[in-house]
Amino acid sequence: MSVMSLEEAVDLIENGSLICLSGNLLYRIPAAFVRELARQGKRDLRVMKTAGGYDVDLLCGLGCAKEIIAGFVSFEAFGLAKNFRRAVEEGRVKYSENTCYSVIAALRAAAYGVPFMPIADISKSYFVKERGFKFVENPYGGGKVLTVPAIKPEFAIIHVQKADEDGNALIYGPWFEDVLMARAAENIIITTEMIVPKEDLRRDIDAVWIPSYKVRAVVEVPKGAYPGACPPYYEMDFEMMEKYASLDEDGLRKHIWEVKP
Amino acid sequence: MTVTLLDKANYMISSMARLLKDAESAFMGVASFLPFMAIILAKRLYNPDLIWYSIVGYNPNPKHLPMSTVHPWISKYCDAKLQLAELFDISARGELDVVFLAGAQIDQRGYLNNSHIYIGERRIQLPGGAGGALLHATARRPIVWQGKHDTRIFVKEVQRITAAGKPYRVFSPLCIFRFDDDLGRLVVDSIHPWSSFEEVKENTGFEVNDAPPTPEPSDEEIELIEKIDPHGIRKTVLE
Repeated sequence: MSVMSLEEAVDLIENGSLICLSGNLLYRIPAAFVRELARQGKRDLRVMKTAGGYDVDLLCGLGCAKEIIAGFVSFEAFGLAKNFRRAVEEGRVKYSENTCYSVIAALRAAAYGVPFMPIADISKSYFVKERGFKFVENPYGGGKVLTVPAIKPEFAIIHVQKADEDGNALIYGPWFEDVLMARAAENIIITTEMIVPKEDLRRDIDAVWIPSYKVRAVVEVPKGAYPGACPPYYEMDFEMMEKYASLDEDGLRKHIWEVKP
Repeated sequence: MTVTLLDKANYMISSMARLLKDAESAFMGVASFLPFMAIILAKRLYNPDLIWYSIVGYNPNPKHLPMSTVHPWISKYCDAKLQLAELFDISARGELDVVFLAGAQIDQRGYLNNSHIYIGERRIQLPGGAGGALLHATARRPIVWQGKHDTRIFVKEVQRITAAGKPYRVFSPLCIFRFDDDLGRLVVDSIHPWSSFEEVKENTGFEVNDAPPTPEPSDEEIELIEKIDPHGIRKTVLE
C-alpha cells in the first residue's frame, strides 16, 4: 500500500530529477502534482513529454525546470505557452527539441531495456544533429539506420481516473504515452481522481494497464488534472485557461496557491 | 466581391476535401480546424471509405467541429482504439497516405520550420513541430496549410528545418501550391478568386507563377460545412 498525501508524494522527487508527465496538451495532465512541485520550490527538473501544455509551461515559468525534452509545447486553442517561450528565449530553460516520435523512441528503448532504438530517417530535421542522434550500420545489411538513445525517467507522474490503494491504475480514453512511460520509468507516482476497492477495479480490468509494482505513491486528487480536462469526469476550464494564459510571473506565483490542490 | 474569413475557410476546406477523393487514409493533429472539416466533408460527400486516423482513435465520427481537434471525447465515437505512438508507426511503415501539417515558416522546397525564428538578433521560440518531422518525411502525400500568407512565412529557405518532406499541396489564404518534380520546388497550382498573381508574388519570398482560379465550393459543400461548424470556429485560424 503506497497511499500518501500530495505533499509527501512530491517530496519523493529530488531537485534535478528527470520526470515524465502523463496526458497530452490539456488532457489528463498531472496538474495538481505540478503545482505542488512549484509550491515546494523544486529546482533543475528535467521534464519529458511528447506534447506539453499547462504543466510544462508552469514549471518553466516558476523556475522549477531546467530542461524540457518534448516535441511540442503549446495550449492549442488558447495560444502559445508564454512562460515556456520566455524561459527558453532568455536561456533559463533548455528546450531539447524533438519530434513526438523520437521522444517515444527514447522511451521505447528504455521500456524494452535496450540502449537505443532504430527509427525512420528524419535526419534532415535540424534537431537530429543537435540531439546527437546517430546513424549505425544495419548489421543485417541494407545501409545505415538512424537511432535514438534510451532515456529512462526517474519518475513517471501519471494522472488517471481510477486506481487501487497499491497503485494498479486504470485509464479511460486515450493513453497517449502513459502506459509506455510507466514501462520506461524507474518509479511511478499515480495521482488519481479516486482510489477504489480492488473489486471495483477488477470489474474494469480491460482498462487497467498500469500494474502497481513500480508505483511508489498513490495520491487521491479529485480534479487533479484541473484546469485541464479529465474525461469522462470533467471538461477543461476554458475561462481559467484564458486567465492563465495572460498571467505574469507574480500572477503565476499566486495561481499555484489559489488553485488547490 | 466581399469575401469574409468564413468564405475563405470554405474555399480551402472544399479544395482540401476534393483532394481526398482518391485518398486511402488521412491524419491530422492538434489545432487543425480546416483539415478536420475537410476530412469530414470528404468522408460524407466523396470518399466514404477514407480511413481517418486521429491521435485519439481510429475512424472518429464527430458531428461537429470541436474547439480542440484532439479532444479525447472524440475517441468515444471511434471504430477502434489507436494510441498516438502507433500512429507514427503507421506512417513510418509507409501506410499513411495523406497527412495535414502546418508550418510557421514554409520554403520553396516544402520544408517547414516550427522550431524558432530569428528576427534580427532576436530569437522567437515556437512550440516545436510535434509529429511533423516524422510524418512529413514518411507519409505519402503531406498536405501543408497556413492561415496567413506573407514573405515572413513563405520564404526561400526556412531558418531551421523542423520537418522535411515533399508536400503534395500547400494551402494558404491566397493560393494553393503543388510540388513540381521537374523544378524540385513549389509552384502555384491555383489562386483564390479574391487574390491575384500580383498579391501572391508580393507576399511570397520565392519565385511564383500565375495560375487559374481555385474552383468555388459547391452549395452542397457549404451547407455541410455550416452544419458541422455552425458557430464559425473554422475562421479563427485565418488572417
